[in-house]
Amino acid sequence: MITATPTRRGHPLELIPLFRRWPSSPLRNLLYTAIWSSLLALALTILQVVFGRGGVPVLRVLAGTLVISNLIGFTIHGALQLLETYLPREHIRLFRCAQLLAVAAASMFGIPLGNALIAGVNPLRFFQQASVLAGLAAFAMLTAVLMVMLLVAGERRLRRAEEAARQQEQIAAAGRLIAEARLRALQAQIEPHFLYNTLANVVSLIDAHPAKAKRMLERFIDYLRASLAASRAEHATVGSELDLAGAYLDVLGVRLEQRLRWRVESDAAARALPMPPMLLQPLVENAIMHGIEPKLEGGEIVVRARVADGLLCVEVHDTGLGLRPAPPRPGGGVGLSNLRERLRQLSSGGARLELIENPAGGVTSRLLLPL
Amino acid sequence: MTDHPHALIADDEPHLLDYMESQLTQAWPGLRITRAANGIQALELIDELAPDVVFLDIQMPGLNGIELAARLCEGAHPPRVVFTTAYDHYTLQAFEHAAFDYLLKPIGLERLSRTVARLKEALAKPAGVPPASDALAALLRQLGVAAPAAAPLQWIRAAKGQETRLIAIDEVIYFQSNDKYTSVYLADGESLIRTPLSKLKEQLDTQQFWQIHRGVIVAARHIAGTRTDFRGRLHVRLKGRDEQLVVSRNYVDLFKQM
Repeated sequence: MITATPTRRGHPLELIPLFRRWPSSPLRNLLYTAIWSSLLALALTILQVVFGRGGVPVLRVLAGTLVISNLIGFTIHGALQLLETYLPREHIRLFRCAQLLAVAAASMFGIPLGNALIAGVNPLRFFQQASVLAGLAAFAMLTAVLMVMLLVAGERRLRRAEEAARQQEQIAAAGRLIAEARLRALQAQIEPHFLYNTLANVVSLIDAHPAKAKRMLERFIDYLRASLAASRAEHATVGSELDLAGAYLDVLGVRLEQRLRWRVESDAAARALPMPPMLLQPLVENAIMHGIEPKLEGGEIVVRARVADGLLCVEVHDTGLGLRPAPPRPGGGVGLSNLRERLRQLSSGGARLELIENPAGGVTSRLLLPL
Repeated sequence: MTDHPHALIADDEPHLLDYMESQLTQAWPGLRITRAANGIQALELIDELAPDVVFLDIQMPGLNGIELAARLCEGAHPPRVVFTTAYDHYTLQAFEHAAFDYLLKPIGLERLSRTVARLKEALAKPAGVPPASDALAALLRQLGVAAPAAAPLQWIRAAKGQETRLIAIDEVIYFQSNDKYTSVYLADGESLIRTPLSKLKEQLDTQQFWQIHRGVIVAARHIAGTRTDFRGRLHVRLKGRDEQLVVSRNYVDLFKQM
């Protein structure tokens, strides 16, 4: 069995589900020992009242039992704690034997000591008579066996609970990973309209304008390479994401000619920052698809990256058609809801996407990512 | 007419338009060719010049190829329509009924020559059969561009500081009336918009947004369940949120048998 993490120390009181509610700590365990011992004392007192000889007032019996029980309880607590600290658990049988002995010894000496405290009797008197000694030893062995069985059961329960929690966590982590990978793969998909239209453009240019065709193909290859890399990588930088957007816009710039103007504004500090791959690209594609392409005279796209108020702000500003009630082009792009879902998977609420209607027309989509 | 056949080619991507022109010149010597850079320009030129055949790109700004073809059908002597596209996931059969032909870009000379041969044949006949307008309408529906008039609200404009934020309707959890304004509750905050709830209600998809109170409309998919309190009032519980919304008596029927 591989248990790199030390087993959490349980307490016999955790046998009662109510007491599992509070996390284990030295102070809690001391308190639990007091409660455990006092409960045992109460039970023993009741037994004594019901079955024992009369004569002694109940409260006195209770007081005596409480003292002895707590004395034994805390001695066992201390002994077990010492074992836990100084005896390695590698040889578990040896360890259990030590526990048995410790509990037995604590019980064996606890009763004489307790009686000595209450009644002022010499504790050694208990060890002079063989029959008393035998009874004491039997009691001690019984306590030890019961106690160690309780400890073993408690530890086993804790291990099972830990194992279950770890499995749950692993399942949840795997689920998050799969969801994130699926969303990322969706976003890294090369939009077929873009792919086929670009290739058709290359074919159209190859005879008449070979230099233009070459440049377009080169930039298209840059785009394909970056987009494939981004779909596989867990992390990218702002710079690499801006380069991907640049390659995409460059290809479209050749295709749309004067209908598309674009530029990227960023500083070296922002470019060096890490950011999740394929978050920016869908926003650029949306700006083209919903903003520039459907507008007769086309427009301008500005991609900006900067650090502001402890957030990385990456935005795509367009002067396109703006958002209309018309449904999106079928087969085109991956929805913003997908992007939002990914932001939720990536960070626990810290990242967000804002869409802003520009006063002069068009839309700004803004990604805000915690640094 | 067959002596001087006239074609209009329309595409918003200039290089594709150049290529189309050069390919068509080769495949059909003697053809007069007019170019259009978008759907609107194409429509104007077709009205003015009445070409015999038009080659229309499907995705064009202003007016897409299919919308344009539908307009042409309404005319007395519609030209033969050939659609061109680089990629479409629609079945080619859909276009067979709606147009004379359908070409995939880049348009190869061999394939284009076949279309040209068929076009010449068709133009020699006295009158062409115009494409069925219902087939075009079906295509438009498939493209998702038909009848946007009654579409429910998709974006909400909310002022935030100097900016106008756009909120996708899917993001809204519920709307709550707030005097003349309406509060919009989202997963990551709330916004105030100027549209009163009663006006907003008319624009919402009633399948997705349920009015549960005079002043509250809630997105059905965010409802986790209901709870009846000790006074017998019904409350709606929301997924991942603490607040509960009271359902007024008039709307309790919405949750019967839930």
